[in-house]
This record gives sequence, C-alpha cells and structure tokens, in this order.
Amino acid sequence: MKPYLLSVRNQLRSVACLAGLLLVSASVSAQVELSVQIGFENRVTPGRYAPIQVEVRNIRGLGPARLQIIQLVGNEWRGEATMRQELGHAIQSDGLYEAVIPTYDPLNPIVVELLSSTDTVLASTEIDLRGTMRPTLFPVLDRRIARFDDRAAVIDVASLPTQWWAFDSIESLWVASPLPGEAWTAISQWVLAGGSVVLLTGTDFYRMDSPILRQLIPLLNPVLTDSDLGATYLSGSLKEATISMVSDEGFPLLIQASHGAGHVSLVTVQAQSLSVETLESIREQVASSRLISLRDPTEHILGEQKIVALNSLFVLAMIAVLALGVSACALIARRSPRMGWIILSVVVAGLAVSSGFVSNPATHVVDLYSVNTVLHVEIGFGFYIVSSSLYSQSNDPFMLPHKEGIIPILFLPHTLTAMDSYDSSTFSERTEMRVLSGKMRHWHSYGAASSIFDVKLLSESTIRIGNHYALDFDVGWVLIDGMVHSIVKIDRGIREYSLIPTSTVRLATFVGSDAADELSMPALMLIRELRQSFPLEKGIWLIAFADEEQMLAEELTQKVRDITLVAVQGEEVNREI
Amino acid sequence: MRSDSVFSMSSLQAYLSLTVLCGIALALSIQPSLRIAAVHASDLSHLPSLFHLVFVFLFGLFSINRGAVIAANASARILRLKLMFRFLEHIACGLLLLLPYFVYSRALLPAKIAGIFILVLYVAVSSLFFCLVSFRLEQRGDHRKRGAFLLRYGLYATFCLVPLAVGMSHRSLSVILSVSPIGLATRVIGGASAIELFVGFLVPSSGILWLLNGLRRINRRHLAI
Repeated sequence: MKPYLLSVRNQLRSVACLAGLLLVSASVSAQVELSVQIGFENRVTPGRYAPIQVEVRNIRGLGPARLQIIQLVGNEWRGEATMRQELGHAIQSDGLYEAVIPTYDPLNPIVVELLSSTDTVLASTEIDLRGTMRPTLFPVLDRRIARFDDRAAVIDVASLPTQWWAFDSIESLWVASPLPGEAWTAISQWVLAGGSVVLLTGTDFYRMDSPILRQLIPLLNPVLTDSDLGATYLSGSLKEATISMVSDEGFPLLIQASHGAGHVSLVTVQAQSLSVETLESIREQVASSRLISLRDPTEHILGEQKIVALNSLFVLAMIAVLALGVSACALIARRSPRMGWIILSVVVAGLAVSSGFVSNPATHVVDLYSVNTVLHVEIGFGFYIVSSSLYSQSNDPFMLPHKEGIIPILFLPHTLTAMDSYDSSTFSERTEMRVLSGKMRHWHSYGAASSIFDVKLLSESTIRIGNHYALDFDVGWVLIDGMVHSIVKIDRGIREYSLIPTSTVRLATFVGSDAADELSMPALMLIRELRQSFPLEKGIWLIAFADEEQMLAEELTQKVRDITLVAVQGEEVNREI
Repeated sequence: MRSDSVFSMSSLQAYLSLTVLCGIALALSIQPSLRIAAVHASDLSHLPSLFHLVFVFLFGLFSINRGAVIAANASARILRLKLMFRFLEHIACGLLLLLPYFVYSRALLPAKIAGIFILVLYVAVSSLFFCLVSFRLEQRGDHRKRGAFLLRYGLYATFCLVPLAVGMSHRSLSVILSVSPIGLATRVIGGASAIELFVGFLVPSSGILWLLNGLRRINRRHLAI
C-alpha cells in the first residue's frame, strides 16, 4: 500500500476516535438529572397533601418536558393501586419546580419521572420515605426553635410553600422568623381553613411584623414590654383570646384565639429564650390543626339523590295493550286475516314509537352521578374546598375535569380489592379513573381564592353586596349578630338589598329546622357544618348558596350537581367610620 | 281457520304467553328509582340484561311449540317452501309483537344497541332451527305424543344448558358457550368476539340446512311411493 494512503487512513482513524470520544462525552454531559424533596424534611403523612420540589438539571435542547409522579398504594395482601400525577409545568430549562401533591402510601417508593413530549422517560428517580414518613400529623418548627419533639420537622420557614394546602399534614406550624408576604398569606388561609399556627415573637416581633401577622395575633396594638426582672415580652389588649399560660414572672406567656376554623397561639417571648421543657408545655396547650371537611355532607347529598330510572308502569301498560291488541286481532282475523295483520302492525308500531319516546336513553341512562360541593370562605383572605362524591353505574373508564394545576386527593379504603380499580391518572386539568358499577368514590381538593364578595351593612335594613363571583346565587342569608335575614337571589354585580326585620330568625332555630324541600337540605347541612368551625353568631356574615344540576353527555352520561356555598364576613359602614 | 295459523286460538295462547312473560322480564330488568344511598347499601344488584336472556330462552320455547303445532296440522307431503313460510310467519309475528319491548330495552343497555340487533337476528335464525327440529320430532313421534313432547323440550333444555355448563367449566372451552342460546345472549351483551358470533350462528344455520336436506329426501320418498 502506498505510504500516503496509509497516512490518510491513520488520520481518518484518529478523526473517528475523536468523534466517538466527543459523542460519548456529549451524551454523558446531556444526562438529565432530577433531585427531589417531598414534604417537610421528607416527612409526609399518608392521605394528605405535601409540597414537592423537583430540581431539573441538563434539560437543555430536549424540548418541553413534563414531570410525572407515580405512587404505588398498598401491597399484595391489601390490594394495589397506582396513582399517577402529572405536574402542570412545561419544563424547558433547568430550575426548581414546585407543586403540591397528594401522598397516598409513603411505605412504597415514590417515582418521579421526567417525560418528553413523546412520553419517553428522560430521567427518573425513586424517593424512599419509609424512614421519615409520619402516620399522623406532625409539628413543623422554625429552625430557630429547639427541636422539642422527635416527630417534628425543622425547616427554614423563609422557604415555606405558598399554596396553603401544602400544610395539610402539619399538626402545628411554629414560626419565629420573618416571612415573605406570600408565606404569610398561605399561613393565614391555612389557619382560616382549620390550621394551627404558633407565633413566637417577643423581641423578634418588629422583625416579623406585617399586616397579616397583626391580623393573626390575638392582640390589639401590640407593644414590647419589659417585666420587672428584665424579660421582654409582647403585650397589648386581648382580641377575644384566652391566656393559656403565664410565665414565672407573671406576664402572659401563651395567648390563644381562634381564627376562622383554626387557631393562633401567640408566644409573647422570643424563641431562643424558651427552654425545651417550656416548649413542651406550650405544645401540650396548642390545638392541633383540623381542616374543614365536607366529605360527610357531600356523601349524604349524593346518597339522597334518586336513581334516574325507566317507568315500570309503562311496561305494564304495554303488556296490557299488546295482550288486548293480539286478542282483538285474533277475533278480527277470523273474518279477514289481512285486516288482522294491519291492525296488529298499527298497534305494535304505535307502541314502539311511544316506547321509544318514553325510554329515550339521552334522559334515562345515567352512568355516573356526582356531587361537587364547593365551600368558599372569605374573611380577609379567601380559600375554597371542593369535595366530590361519585356513584358509578358503569364499568367504563371516565374523566373528571378540575381546575388547572390542582391535583385532587382521593379517599382510598384500607383494602383495595382486586375487583374494583383504584388506579387514577391526573393530568393538568383532568383525572382519569374507573369505578365499578355500584361503587362510590370520594375526593377533595383545596384552593386559594381572591376577593369575590364585598359585603357592607349600610343600615339596619339595607345591605350592599358586590358579587364578583362568576355565578348568580339562588338564595342568600345575611347573618347579623346571630339573626338570619333571607335574600331571595344574589345576582352578579353590586346591588343593595333590603332586609325585612319581621322575617328574621335566630341562627340556632334556622339550622335546627328541617329542610322543607330537596333544594334547601344541602344548604342547611353545609351551614350546620360551617357553624361548627366559624363564629357565625358574631358580626356580619353573608352566606350565598347556589345549586346547579346538569347532564353531561360525554363518553359516559354524567349527572353532575354543583353546590356552591360562599361564606363572607362583612362589615358595617358606621362601625368603619 | 287452521289451528296452526297465526290468528288461531292455540296461537293466541302462545303469543299471549310470550308477550306477558317477556313483558314481566322487561319490567324486572328496570332498576327501581331508589335513593343512591339505599342502592349502594344493598347487596341486591339489578340485571338490565334479564329481558334479553329471557327473550332468547322463551322465543326458543315458543318456536318449539310452533313447530309441533305446524307438524300436527301439516300433511306429510307439505312443500318445503310452504313449510318455511309458515314457520317464518309465526317467527315474524312473535318478533313484531316484541318490537315495542326491544325499542324500550335499548335504554337498559344503551351501549349495546348493535348487540340487541344481533340478538334479534340470532333469535330469528335459531327459531327457524328449533321450529324445524320440533317439526321433525313431531312427525317422527306421531304415534307417541307424550314421548315426543318430552323429547322436544328435553332436547331444547339440553341444547341450552349443556354448552353453557361446558363453556363455563374452563376458560379454554369458553367458545362453546356460544352454542347455547343463553350463552350467546350473555356473550353478545358482554361484547362477543367474531369467533363466538360465528360459532353461535353456525350451529342453527347448519342445522337448518341439514334438516331441510332431510325434508327434501322425505318428500322425494313420498313422491316415489
């Protein structure tokens, strides 16, 4: 072989090796990486929401990707179910992606996958929470507070999630540091919905100070005061609060008050000045969080609905008409068989047409019955809870629409029988599942709501209601210091309504009354539930109620009942002045 | 009027029985309008396909009965075409009477309207087969009526139940279910495969051809005599 050919061949070989090395290094550097944090210090509670943070690295050039969480629930003995949840983010660049997801069974590993637009798994990681999961709610402590409880998660509160339902698994949240405004809003909404926050202030109060903190603490005009022995504590006039603990020096150490459906506990001294023993005694006094649940009323309302059924009496009438028709035809056909056939055909055709009208499948076949109860509460801040119950009469899979970015949490029984399927797949705006005929399912979701009602009592007999909700309400009630005034309809926009003093009734009498009709039964049930958590007897409240029923004819025919109850705390114009 | 004609008194009883019994089955197929909580709490589950199963079974009995009645009235030299016309007249009248029930029953199985059509078609074919079987048995056992009666209905019960039992005994034998009218009705409502439909239709169709061929030979023998 000629020497120049050899040299070219050698050069080609070295170029090929170099290209190979470059390709390998490029593929190594393009490896997408995921690092995942779930819950607070990886502490989660089964059947509760938990925050999730996924850090994505080296995603460049791979196009929009999606994050999917796969949770296996149960085991071979209990039965198994797979819950898939897609987070709503369209991931195109490296970064930290946050969401709030339901956690079902942390005893099984949780798989987080990054999927391409063609559903190829670009990266996957498995999270083992067996060592850190908590079977019940647990306290979450600011890292400035000494860990006085082994169950507790200690975190940097500055990075608290901003979606309030991320605190679902928290028994009590202990805050001793300044927080961003969004975190205060989330805490406030969570407390309104039934959360429990412990605020450790003292000399740190002015560092932590914010309008929301001032709303939350059970003190008016808070100021720092020094005790005789030189301890600095927060004092002020009490806002319908109780002093639960007094310090050794005699000043109030723990002041507690309810706020919405939840509780606020104010520790008047700074966190560092408290011993572990004192913190333990405080913990014993602090109420556990208990978020409002509408599962029972929703299930009850669904249970009270009647199954849409065909009319059996029509079948009996058909039998009678056919029997008479056949007998009459037999008599007539003795003289003229042709006439017998004609009459028989006419009778049968008439019956077939009428039975077609009577048994129209569009109105008589319902595969799914569902009730969605939305409770919207607004006391300064707003939150909402959506509780749904479903009864299936079909074995086919179906799709449930929901708000974008919200992942509903399903109530799963302990035993996941093999006959029924509990698998579900949640996407950005829908959840797909299958429920065996004759079975029920329940789930709920939470959300934050902006100001939708503006309620001002102008005089003893006039109230101005600004309804910015995308709904006209069928009926409303204005509660003034425990007296109930009925309003027939609350339309959208700002209107003034007259209150008739003679038609008022006490709240206790109102909620104790039996539902006069099927429509008012859900309203009364929900108001009873609301009364257990909110001080409806005090101040001005507007309760608006809407009940809509519709038939959705998609893959499966669904009878959907949407019940909305809004509770808004109003104000009196004169008091404001 | 001939006693085997559609509007005779004996036919009237058969049609009335068919109408009333199928109507009762239809009424029982309807789910009662109860509260969801009551339905969910009770273990009783309603069977929306009850009407269709009862219809297939009763129409088979009706065909056996019609076949025997026609045989009792037909001469030994009856033409095949005429015989077929008499059978089809009864089958058509029976199906026509049940037409309002079929229309009504589509609300019981809204996703299976095609299945209801297939079932009606199958019933028409299988009824012709049962009429022919009954006719042949009646003609052969003319001298011992009671034995022929038991043989007719016994064979029908065997035809319905034996394939059902065999098909249900093992998964690999499930296709045999389709040989039974009740088995095929169950499969059609549940979503039958093409093989199951083929087997279901093959048995009565080939039976009809075989029996008609047999009738031709008998007719020839009679003509030769």
